Amino acid sequence: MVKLDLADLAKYPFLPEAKSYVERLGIELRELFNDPDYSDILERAYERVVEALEHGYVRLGRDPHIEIVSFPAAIALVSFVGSDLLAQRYATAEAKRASRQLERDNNLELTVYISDAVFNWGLKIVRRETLDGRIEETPMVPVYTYLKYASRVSGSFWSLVSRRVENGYVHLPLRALIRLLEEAIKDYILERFSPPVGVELGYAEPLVARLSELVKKRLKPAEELLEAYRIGEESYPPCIRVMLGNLRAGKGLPHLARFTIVTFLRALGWDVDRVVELFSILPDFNERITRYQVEHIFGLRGSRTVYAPPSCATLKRGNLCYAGGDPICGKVKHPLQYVRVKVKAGGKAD
Amino acid sequence: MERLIKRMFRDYYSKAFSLNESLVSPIERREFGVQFFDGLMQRHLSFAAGEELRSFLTSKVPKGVYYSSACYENPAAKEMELKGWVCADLSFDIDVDHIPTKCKQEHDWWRCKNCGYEGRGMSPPRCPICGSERMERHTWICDKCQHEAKEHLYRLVDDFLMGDLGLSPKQLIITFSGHRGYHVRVVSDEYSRLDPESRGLLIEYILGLGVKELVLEEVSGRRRYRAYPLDELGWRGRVARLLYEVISGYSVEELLEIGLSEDAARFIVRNRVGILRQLEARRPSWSFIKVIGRRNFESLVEEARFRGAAIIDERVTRDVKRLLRLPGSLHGSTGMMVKPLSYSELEGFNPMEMPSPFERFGDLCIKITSKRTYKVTVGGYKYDPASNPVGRPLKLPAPLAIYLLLKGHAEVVGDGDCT
Repeated sequence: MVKLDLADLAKYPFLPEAKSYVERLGIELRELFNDPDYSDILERAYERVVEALEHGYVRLGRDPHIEIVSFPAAIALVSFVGSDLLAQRYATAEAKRASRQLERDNNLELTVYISDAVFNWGLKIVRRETLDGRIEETPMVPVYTYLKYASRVSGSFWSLVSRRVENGYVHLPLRALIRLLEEAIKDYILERFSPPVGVELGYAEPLVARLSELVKKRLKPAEELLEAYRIGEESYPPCIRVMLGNLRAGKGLPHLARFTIVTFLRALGWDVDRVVELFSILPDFNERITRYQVEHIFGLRGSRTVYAPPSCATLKRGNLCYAGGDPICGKVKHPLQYVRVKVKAGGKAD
Repeated sequence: MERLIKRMFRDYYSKAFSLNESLVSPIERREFGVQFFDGLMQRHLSFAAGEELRSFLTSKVPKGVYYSSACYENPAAKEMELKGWVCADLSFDIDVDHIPTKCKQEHDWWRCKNCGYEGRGMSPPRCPICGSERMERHTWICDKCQHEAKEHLYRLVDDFLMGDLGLSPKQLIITFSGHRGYHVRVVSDEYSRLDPESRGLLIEYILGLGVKELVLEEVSGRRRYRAYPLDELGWRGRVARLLYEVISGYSVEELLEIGLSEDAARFIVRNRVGILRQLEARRPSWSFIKVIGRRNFESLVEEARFRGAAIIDERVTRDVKRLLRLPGSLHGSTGMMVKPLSYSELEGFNPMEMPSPFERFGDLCIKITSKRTYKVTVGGYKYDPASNPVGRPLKLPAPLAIYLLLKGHAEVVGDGDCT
């Protein structure tokens, strides 16, 4: 049985034990927001959210008591702000913090305990003798749990093909298990954002207002962000560059390539006119037809579905992947993700 | 012709068809769709019980009947957003259309509807001459294709679903597609909640995509290989065992055929015993790669993958809003039944010998109208174009006659013409 102390609950405040700790203290949100005695907790809750916003990470404060109680308070603050982008950002940052702590703890038993107690994963541990005679303990997660979370993490490292799969379970190194848990923790937090009913904001009111301001300044929808960066073609992934090259050279393009270009540029903020103009170079260009098709893909016609650019996997299958040895391509699974990584790196990586 | 076929289909749905509701349970959550003989499709149907569905089929007599692998709050809603998607059973489709078989050169052909260019064998996705995607595809059923479909079904079920995924036969709903393939639906709450991306990871696994990267790693620009013991789990051991099979069983000619160079093929055959011993070791070494080179080794790995993967139609598995053929319904281009099969029935099942519901109609009088018919067995009745000349009225057993009519290679003639 895992023994948890206060420091553990501070690191992993989503544990049921942390929840009952708060319950035992009998601190209700109403008091937290309206009683000056709890100002340090409220202050820390606010800090947590700001840290998530500004650094994408929440640090671990010194006082475990404050760390534990400020976690549900921070979730309440984010709920009151009511921004999905902030919620995403906060959940991601808290999940990242938890997974870093788990890596630092490097404790199989604890990690398995969290997987089972919070997420009900039903892990198994397999003990194998290694070639040099050591006993190695490896956690195994059910295949469906693996598929659910691994599909969200990029890179060929997560291909099921590369894993030991046995009778419904996937063997995982501890670090990989922790990475999957990070995704589950993020979901767990996201599910908990709902503004508490009948709670007066009290002292929290100015904090919520400040957070709303910060969100406006800092978080723009990803597409706006990309447009704001005025992304140049040098930040496009190789596949798009090749397709655009062929397009400019007036070469015929397969259907999937045309679709990819239109959806990709739309995501980068191009408008219909600009995209249609780009295609005007093609020998078989017909403005009326092209405009109709582009508008369709933009979701302005027909079913009103806005189409997303195809993933790397789809492009690969369509023989449109030109990753070559591009280091970013190895890490991403979607052309837009490539742009984000590249822009974040400030054009350094190449 | 349509009237005759519709009459026979109606007869089937009113007398012989009985829906095993447990195979589509919960029936009230499923969307149904039908395709009529005139080509029109009707979707967004919903039925509270099997009997309701049966009377619908009896009155409308569709060519094909489908149900959703998904469950919806309102399966009859016309728009996806209003349907309220709840979950979708993990489903697989094995269809010889996607599996390269040599016999297709003999009995499958296609024609571009745009430029008229035609060819034999497996149809390309678009016309190689004009690039049009409007293709007319003619397929045929044959022993070899049916055998191949079953081989892939066994790989899917035995190696992947029951093997690696640890599912039990009770969790699998297997049906013969009524043409040349099989469908498998997994009954599992956990799998039915997965999103398309997660299903994508499983598709890669079943197709063995990424096996090359598993054995040939690229570390900071340098390639190196990784050897796995034969008893390793997952694809690691599978690829090792399949390489073993290829190296131990292939002749020089067969190795050439899968793309190895002459030198490499000869080296492998000459040093077979030594290489196999290296593969068998507890700490295996695949040092023969250094002799044959990376290209040749990649061909071996690709062949190993090809021998181990189950070729599934990935669109069917990825799509969580797809319709599947209803178990017990009739396939509109063969007249064969979409037959539910328990795991234990699989081994003895031969689709071409499967009794046909049209048996009781005795013989039908038809005339073969096309030169492109081939040997076939339907409902246990054999047909050979050599003994059934084009253009002459013939009496053929109803199951065979219906097959030829639905494939568009025959037409009905009056009973008086047949003697």
